[in-house]
Amino acid sequence: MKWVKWVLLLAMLLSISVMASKIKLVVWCGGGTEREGLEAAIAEYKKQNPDVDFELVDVPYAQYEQKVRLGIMSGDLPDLVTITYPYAPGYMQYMIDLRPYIQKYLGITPEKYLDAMYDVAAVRIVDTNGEIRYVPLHFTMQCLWVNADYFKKAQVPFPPFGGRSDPWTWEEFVEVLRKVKQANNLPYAMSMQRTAERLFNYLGIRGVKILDENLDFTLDKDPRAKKVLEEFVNLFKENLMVPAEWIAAQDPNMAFTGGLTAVLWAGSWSTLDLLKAEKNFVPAYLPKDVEWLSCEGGRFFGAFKTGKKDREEAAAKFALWVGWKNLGYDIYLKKTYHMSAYEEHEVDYDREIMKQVQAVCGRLAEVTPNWVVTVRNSTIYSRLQTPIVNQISAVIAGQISLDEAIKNLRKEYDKLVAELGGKK
Amino acid sequence: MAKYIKWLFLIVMLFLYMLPVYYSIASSFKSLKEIYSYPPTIFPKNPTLQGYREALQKQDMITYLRNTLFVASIATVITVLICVMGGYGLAKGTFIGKLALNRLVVLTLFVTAQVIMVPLFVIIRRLGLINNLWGLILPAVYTPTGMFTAIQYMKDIPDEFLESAKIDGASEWTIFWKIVFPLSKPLVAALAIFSFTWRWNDFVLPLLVVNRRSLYTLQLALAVIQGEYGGVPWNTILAFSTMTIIPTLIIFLLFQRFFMRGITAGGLKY
Amino acid sequence: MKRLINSRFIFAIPALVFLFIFVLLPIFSIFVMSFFSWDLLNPPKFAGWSNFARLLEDKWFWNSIWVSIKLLIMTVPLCFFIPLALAVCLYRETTSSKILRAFFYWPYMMPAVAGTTMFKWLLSYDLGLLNYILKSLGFSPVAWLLKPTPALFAISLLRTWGMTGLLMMMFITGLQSVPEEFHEAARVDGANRWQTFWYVTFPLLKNTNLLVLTTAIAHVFRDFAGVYVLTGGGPGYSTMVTPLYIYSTAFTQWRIGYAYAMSVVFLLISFVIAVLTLRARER
Repeated sequence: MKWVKWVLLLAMLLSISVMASKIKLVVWCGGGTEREGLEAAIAEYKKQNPDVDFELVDVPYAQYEQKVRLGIMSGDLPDLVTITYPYAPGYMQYMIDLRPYIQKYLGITPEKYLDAMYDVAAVRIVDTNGEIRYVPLHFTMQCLWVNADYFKKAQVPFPPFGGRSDPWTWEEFVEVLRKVKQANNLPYAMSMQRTAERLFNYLGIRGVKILDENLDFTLDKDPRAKKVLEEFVNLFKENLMVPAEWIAAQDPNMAFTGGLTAVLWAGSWSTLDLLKAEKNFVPAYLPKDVEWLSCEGGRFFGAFKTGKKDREEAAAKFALWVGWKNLGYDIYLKKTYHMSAYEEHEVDYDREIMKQVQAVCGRLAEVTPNWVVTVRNSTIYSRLQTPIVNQISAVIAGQISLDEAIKNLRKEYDKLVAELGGKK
Repeated sequence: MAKYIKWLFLIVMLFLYMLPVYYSIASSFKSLKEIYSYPPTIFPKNPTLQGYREALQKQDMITYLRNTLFVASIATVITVLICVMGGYGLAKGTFIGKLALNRLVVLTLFVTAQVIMVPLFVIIRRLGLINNLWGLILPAVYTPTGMFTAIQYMKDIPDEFLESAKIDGASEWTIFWKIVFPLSKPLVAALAIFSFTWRWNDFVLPLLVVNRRSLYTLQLALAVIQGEYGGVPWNTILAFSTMTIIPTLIIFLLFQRFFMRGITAGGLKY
Repeated sequence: MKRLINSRFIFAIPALVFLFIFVLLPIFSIFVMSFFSWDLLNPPKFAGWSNFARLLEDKWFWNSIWVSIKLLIMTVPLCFFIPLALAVCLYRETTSSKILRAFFYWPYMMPAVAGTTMFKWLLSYDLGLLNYILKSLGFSPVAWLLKPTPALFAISLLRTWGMTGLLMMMFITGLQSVPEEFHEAARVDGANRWQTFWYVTFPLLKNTNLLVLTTAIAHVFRDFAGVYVLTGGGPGYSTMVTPLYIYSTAFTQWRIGYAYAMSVVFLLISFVIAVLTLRARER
């Protein structure tokens, strides 16, 4: 009967060691569909890796920076974190370098890994020393959405799925807006959310950079800047764009799904919401003027340097798994209706429209130059976003002149450079 | 003739005043397609609970409800206690500086969260109560108005009651609990009802203290989802909004007389 | 045997502790910390008068004060006469009066954010009910929230809607304390209703009038939630009232020391209004 005791002891030891070796990874993520996507991916991962457990904590988008700031100060950090692209560069220093694990867990070299994704995605995850700090989680590109019924009625083709393969020039585009608005008797033509990112995209297409490659402020130096901005403001005066959206921050989905506008300047992330309106909405190319580009964005996934080697490795392993095509990535994308960051990656979505989204936004991702990413990565740009929006909104509201707005932004820029101690 | 003018006026005003409420509630039952349609409809064509479902599930309303209930209830209990005790002490106690302290209470009647936003945040942070539901409770339990009302009420209690009890040999503690507290039932009721409502409606304090979504209160969440990057549809927003006003409506209907009479109790004007 | 402090004082201690920490300490620190510059991550640096110097030059701060004044000018008359009119109609203690009073009081009970949300929904320029009604009646739609004056007016309406309940009850209390004899005497002398009211009753309500006036001013000046949710300070800066400007300076730009300096001014103005209210109340 003595052996019973030994068996029990052995069982106890085994279970303790299993529990002890069961690593629990804490993940901070945004709520909503992102969380659902992660939960689905985690469920699959746990089947393959039963010795890892997860705890998901919601962090709202707007409070991100403060929470991570406080976490870093107090040392109370999670193992893994999803991070939106504006904050990603600032926190790279706290993330572990994933390169050693790429060969081990994905079986390819880091170079091959970066090659597989769009350049603009790759730029986002690599820091100045060439270390890979994040994996792409969901990747977004700005694009247009058109109300295909309105365009049909106006007999205007749209690229690429509406009877025209090349993007419009800016001039053509404005004419298109006028024509579709008139043919359908609409109060406005295009909806656009009031963010600096949209403005940046517009200006970039027209050949005006808010900050150039040296992070110098160009709006008061570039001779075309004022004219291009004026044309933007005039779109509102002509009621081609919706004043309420840029003056009172009205949700652009309101006018677009309500049928008051024919075009929505949004992006690949809008798919889910637009599907709910049950209208004939189709993604389309952004216009191509001096340049053809689109702003990327999205969320990335990284592992914090916690100092605990085995946890770091487990975290890195999961991150790479969930961020690599045909592994966890597909599960995440199918749940969240986001596009893939990888070139030539066919995800088996259950909605046809995602194929069109991937086609349109993938093309836009291919043509976008890297400076679009690097400039927007800078701290100066991220701190300038709110002043830019406030000033342009005030111009559209007729409160100040464009000259004043540009001057005010120059002042903000100079103040920021002084505060940050340089152009970063 | 004058009577007709009066009733016409009242009906028009009633219509105007209830229009926002009615229209919001009606719109909350519209589907996403209908809510953005033009012209706007007064009655929902195909009433649906889509907005409510989204508010409860996608927008996590139950969590916010829990938080708000927790904060409001606990804050109410503490507020009633310290205001009743404090009112008693300040009205019936004898000590140096009694007059000064009473004056101080009156003088700080205007100090609400908006006035001292910045230092309040700093102090709460120093106390480690940021992102902590207690950070929504503790700074709010002392309400200048509540305190003032309590003092006024206590002043009205005749000193003889207390003196005679003292002669009978009762201790201060017994006097308070056996005599003063039972006499203060109206005060307690008024304080409880007002305090719960104020905490339920609080916006500035949660805005300062809480930035972790799981700790939001209902009003804070309602404000945040309107500024949301992703764009929350209006039927969801209005469903959310409708649900948040229900508790205060119930309290109001049940305890109307307290609210409306509150004015004559001499203090609850802020 | 009189003691300097009797033990009843102990009952007041918890309340006084909270008063100290959450009311007096903040007030004190507003005055002290306004001489420092701080961004919360690094320790505060002594900055002398520089915050106040910046304050004098900051046109957006003075703009916010001016916006608050404009708002007061627009709102206070509405907040005075509408509740007064309602009170005159409803001060008798009939069942119908009591029921109607409750309806008008309800917006005051509502959470500020929820009430503002309801207004926001009505005021949408293209899809809102209010503009639709205006268009149907033949008027042109109002650019609520899109132009400075309509935006201020919208806030005025919102505040009036929210405060009517309270102010109406103040008037009712006042009216109920005016003895009927005065009305009778005036009627006998041949005055009609209108004259009776304005020349007899109204002057008798002097205390109540002052109270309503000062309460309205205090509430409008301090309003934060309503403006934050309805306009966020826009369009441009045209509805950026002072508490909102302080909030954005402190918590989006993280210029805490400077925000303290602005708070000094705001606190002093609030204090003055409060003193006036107290005087009105004491009467």
